[in-house]
Order: sequence, then structure tokens, then C-alpha cells
Amino acid sequence: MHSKSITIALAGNPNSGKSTIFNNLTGAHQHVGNYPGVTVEKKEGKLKFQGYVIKVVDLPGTYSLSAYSEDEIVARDFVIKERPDVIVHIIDSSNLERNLYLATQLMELEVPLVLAMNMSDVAERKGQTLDYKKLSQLLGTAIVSTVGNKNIGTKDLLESVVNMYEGKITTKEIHIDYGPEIREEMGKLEKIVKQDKSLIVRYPWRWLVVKMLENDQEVLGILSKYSISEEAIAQIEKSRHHLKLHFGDSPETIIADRRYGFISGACTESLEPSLEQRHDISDRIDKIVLNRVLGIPIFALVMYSIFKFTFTFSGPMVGWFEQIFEWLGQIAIRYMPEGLSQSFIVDGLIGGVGGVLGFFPLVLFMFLAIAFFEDSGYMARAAFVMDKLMSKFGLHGKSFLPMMISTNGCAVPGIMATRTLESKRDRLITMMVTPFMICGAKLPIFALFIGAFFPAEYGANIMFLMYLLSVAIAFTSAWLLKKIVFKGEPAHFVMELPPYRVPTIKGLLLKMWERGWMYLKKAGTIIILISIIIWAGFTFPKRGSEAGMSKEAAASAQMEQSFAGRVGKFVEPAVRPLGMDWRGGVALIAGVAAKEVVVSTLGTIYSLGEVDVEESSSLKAELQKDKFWNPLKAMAFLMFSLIYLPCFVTMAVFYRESGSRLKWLLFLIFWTTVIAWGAAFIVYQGGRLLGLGV
Amino acid sequence: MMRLSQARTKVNLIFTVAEGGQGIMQKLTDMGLIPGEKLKVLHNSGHGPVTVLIKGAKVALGHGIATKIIVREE
Repeated sequence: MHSKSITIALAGNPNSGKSTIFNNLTGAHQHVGNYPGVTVEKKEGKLKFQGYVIKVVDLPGTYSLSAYSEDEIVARDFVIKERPDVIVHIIDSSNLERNLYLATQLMELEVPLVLAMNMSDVAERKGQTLDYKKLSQLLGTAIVSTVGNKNIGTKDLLESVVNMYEGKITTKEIHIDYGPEIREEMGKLEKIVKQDKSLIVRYPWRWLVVKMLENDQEVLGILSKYSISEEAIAQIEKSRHHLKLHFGDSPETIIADRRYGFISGACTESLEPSLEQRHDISDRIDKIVLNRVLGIPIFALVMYSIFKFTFTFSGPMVGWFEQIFEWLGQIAIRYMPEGLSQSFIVDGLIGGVGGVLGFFPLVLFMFLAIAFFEDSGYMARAAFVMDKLMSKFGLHGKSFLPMMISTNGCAVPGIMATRTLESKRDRLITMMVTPFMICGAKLPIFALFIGAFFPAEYGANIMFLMYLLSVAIAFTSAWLLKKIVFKGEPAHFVMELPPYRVPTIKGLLLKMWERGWMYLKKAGTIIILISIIIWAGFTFPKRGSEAGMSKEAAASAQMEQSFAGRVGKFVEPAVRPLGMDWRGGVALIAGVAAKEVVVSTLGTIYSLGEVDVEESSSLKAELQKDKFWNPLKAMAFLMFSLIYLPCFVTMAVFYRESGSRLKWLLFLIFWTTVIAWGAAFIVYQGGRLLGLGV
Repeated sequence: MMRLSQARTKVNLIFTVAEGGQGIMQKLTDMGLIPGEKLKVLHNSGHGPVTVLIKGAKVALGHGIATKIIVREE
């Protein structure tokens, strides 16, 4: 038997059903990581077939292989550098011409290519018949028909891959004819690049030459490292100038035109009827969903249903998680001797990790609901509906999704969701404002203070006001960032609106799990470290216990003179203008570990010992009794909590996702602190001027 | 000749050129829009984004980019 392994790469347009095919091929044996140095997701999986171990790498979904987006560069670099044995190009058969554009570029990379004509059932239903044999001859590739969401054709596809690998399928190498003028210029460049053997061993010369004529910045960068660089650059300029004069258009436009011409030629010969309009049902749905009047209300309804779904179904599970951690804590208390190590395990480790894991079911259900609307095709429409409003504030239509995930959910997956934004500028602005949303962990703070200082009948209204405020702050902040830091306009909104589809259960569950796992990994690794640091900050230096002091009072006194307490005293002058004393300062500092810690820290300060975040009624009473607080101060405190520094996990993810540059993280810290301080100052001092709460 | 942002709903158009550099042209090329290509306006409210049909696929274009796309009626 063979024990050889084959590496295949899956390429394809977004919405071509690529991930469904990937799931069919690899099942649950998937691994999600990043391509080195960039924040582009890399999915890999393995399977066994006919004695081979087949490693499947899912390339980012792209429309072409130019150098205009990170995704495209990653996809083609993988093909060039890793040289997969076979590339499988997943094609939406019902949209053949546009999808084949990518195929023409894959052909130039000179790697064995298998085309998977996916969604062939949809194409057939439209009355299209495709002559596979003919198209395969015209393109010089193997072609297989698949229906991803019904798992049809998966075995054929694998057989084709193996046959291709074993050389059992002989394909003629096809080169697109770019016409005599371009051919001539290609010839000139060919002579130059072929002088350097080390260059053409690495890169297929024909691809190089075409990319040179297209003025591809990446390829120009590669050339600069080779001996022929100067000569090549001079010739590129000459050739491009010549072609521009000849065609009255840029060479890249002419080259694209020839590629599409080649495709359209191949399609007329193999496809019947050649081109047809589709989208009958989708059109009818879009008429309503994209309607000028109904668009935004429908969007709001969808968002509401996502929240409703998330909270209804995750509620019981969040409860179980809490019980599990409570139970773990009790076990540790029972079986460990009282002292430092017990406190470390119970308060530091279990408390900290439990705080993050407690949200896990919520995040998971939210991902499931979002995956449903993504896979059905609605999310593309939502971005479209929101784009007009968002672009006024310097955001992109797609920015709504990260902000939405963060609202009631968590900013960590929210920031990770900014990956769908193509331009760096749009991504950074969106990442900067996403933490302003009221995430699930901020909710307990709001519940506590609103419950303690405002009449119950206004509670819901004030909460609603806070949500509106968070959106307003995020938008204003985005607008300010656009005016001050990131000048220029958001990237152009160009987005395919795929036909509506019924999502597959398998696809939804895999997506949910994959993102959930990523969240756990990111949050889990750092939270343990941070929990330890925070715990140590409140525990050391140790204070000798005094006789006659209650346990709670001792805890409170310990806190006051711990490192954290001292820090609180230190920052007191800074927070005094906001109506806070050192206790507020400590709570807010601790809240950087995880926002719900603000509540438990206040609990410790008010000598309540362990305060359950969910049942803070006794703490509520303590706060009411304390002469220090009044509704105005509570409001200022809430304002500050709403806006200030995101939690550590969010900052860590922000750091990584913003390109691991300290500059942006420091800016985020500065930005959120300044805005939080300013807003709380206005509320408190403004309120005092108006004679409120004095 | 007119801008796509000014085109009426349901009209068949031919794409001529996009102003504003290679980045925009590249993006449109990727979606199948090259000079001379036909497109049909599916929906245009006049100030928001525009949806068009290109090579059988529905594509949404923001108002900003729609003002930079020059088209003529078929």
C-alpha cells in the first residue's frame, strides 16, 4: 500500500460553496490557524483516500489573484511557495464566466488543476447544460461535477485528484492568447527573466511576465532582489508605455479583457444556453429586504432575532457553566488548606477562567445565529443596507457585524470579525470602536448601578439609553478618527449579493465551533496569566490580621493596602473630578481584567466577601446606604465604565489583529481613556452645574 | 454617457471606464466588469448604494464608487 501524502489546495470565489466542499472532504478533522505574518485564516484538514493521506488546505476565497488584497497575495504565495500537488478550484456553475476568471489565473501558475463544478444542480435547474468534456479540453484541466450541500460528487472529486497526481489524467497545457501586441512584449520580458535561472526555477516565467505587464507591485518587489532587476524594470516601463499607446487603455485592463474573452469563447462552445439571467426568488426577496423604507426595519428585526435567540437558548447553559465553576471552587475550598494557595486557586484561577468561560455558551449561540444569516446570504444584504449610514461616519457597510457581535456578546470575536474588511484603514477604525459597545460582561455593572440609584420603573429605559449611547459614542468616535487620524474615505463598497440559500446544519455547526474554539484559544491562553496578575495585585503585600476583626472587614482592609489599593489611591486625583474616590478607581482598574470584575471588586471593598455577580442585591443596598454615592456620580461612573479601556483579552486580540504593532495598542489605550474621562467629566461636572445630585 | 449613480432602475448599460485609479478598476474587473461589458441596474434609489447584474451575478456598489463609474445606455 501507498503511504504517500498529497497536498491539495482549494481555491474559489467567495460564495462558491468552497467551505462546504472543504467540510465534505475533511469532516471534523480541521485545524484553523493563520497564515504566517498575516491575519488571514488558514484552514487545513486531512483525510485518507485510496491509500493516500490527503492534506487539504483551504485558500482564502478570492475573485482573482492580483496583489490588491491580503487574501489574494496569501492565496497565490501559497501556490507558488508551497507548490501543492493539485489545486482544486471550486466553481459556482450557475455563474460560470465570472468564476472562471480565477481559473485563468490559476492556469498561469502551472500547477495541476481540477475544476469542481459546484452547485451543478442549480445550474441544471436553470436549464443550463455544460459539456464537461469539451470545457475540459478547452481549459486543459480535469472537471468534476459536485453539489456541495448534498455531498454529491465528493468521491469523484477525490478520484480525480488522485488520478491527476498519479499522472493518469493527461491534460494539454493551455495558454491564453493575449494577442500579437501583448505577445510581443511578453517575448521581450521573457528573454530578460530567462537570463536568471534562479528566478524562473522559483516562479513560472509566463506568470511572471504577465504580472510584470500588469504592473503587479508584489512581483516588482520580487524582481528587485534579482540580478536582472534593472533591465527588467526598464523593459516593463517601455512595454507598458507601448501597450498603453497602442490600445489607449492600461495593459492590465487589456489583459483582463483577453482573459474574459478566452472564457467567453470557452463558454459559448461548451455551455447551453450560454448566458441567462437568474435570481428569480432572490430578486423577489431582495425587493423587500433592500427596500428603501423597509430595509432598515428588517435589519433591526434580524438583529433583534439574533439577540433573542442567543439569550433564550444560552441562558440555561450559562447557568450550568456558572454552577460548574462554583462547584469547582467549593471542592478547592473543601480539600485545600486555607491560605495563599487556596486563595490562588479559588479566586485567581477558577474565578478568572470562570469569568471568561461563563460567556462561552452565549458566544457560541451568537455565532450560530450569525452563521445562519451569513450562510443564507442575508449578511451581505445587511452590509448593503447599512453602508449609506456607516460610510457617513467613516465606517464600512461591513463594520456593523463586529459591532453587533460585541453588543451583549464579546468584543474578542467582534474584533476577529473585522477580518472581513478588506482595507486596513476600515479594519483599524472598526477595531477601535468595537470595544465601545456594551458587551455581555459590562451588563452586570449597569444592572448594579441602575438598580441602586434609579427608580425601578425607569430601569429599562435607562438601560436602553445606555445602548443608544454606546452606539452614538462608537459612531462619533469613528467620525473623529476619520477626521483626525485616518484621513480619507472608507474603501469602496463592492460586494456580491449571492442568491439566497438554505444553510446546511453541518455547515452552521462547524462554523460555530470553529469560531468558538478560536475565541476560547485566544481568550483562554491570556486570561490565566491575567487572572494571576490581578489576583496577586489584590493579595500582596499581605497584611497581618488583627484580632476582633470580622473576615469581611479584614478582606476590605487588605484590599485598601494591597498593590491594587495603592494604585487606586494613586489614581484618585485623576478620577476625583469624575465623582469617584479610590474605591471606584480600584474597581475600574480591576475591571480591565474582565469587566464583570468591577462588580465583584466593589463587593470586596464593601466587605461583603464573595459577591455573586448575578445577585448583587446586597451590594446594591450597601451602595445606597453609602453617603458617598448619588445618582449623578453613578451616572458618571457608568459613563466611564461604558467607554474606558477594553479588557485585557480584547487588548491582546486587538494587538494581534492590528498587525502586532504597539503603536495601535497604545493609541487604543490613549483614545479610550481620553474619551471615557471626557464623557464622565462632562456628565459629572455638567450635572453639578445644573444642580443635579448635589 | 453618465455616471452609474444617475442611472435609472431596470436600465441596461455598457460599462465604459471608472475614474480613480487602478485599485477601483481591479475590483470591478474581479467582479467581471471590464470596459464594454453589459450590466443591468437592478435597483438605484439615487443616493444610496446601487445593485447591478454583472455576468449573471448580483453585485452591490456603494454610492461613492457608483459616482466614479461611467456608463452609457445600451
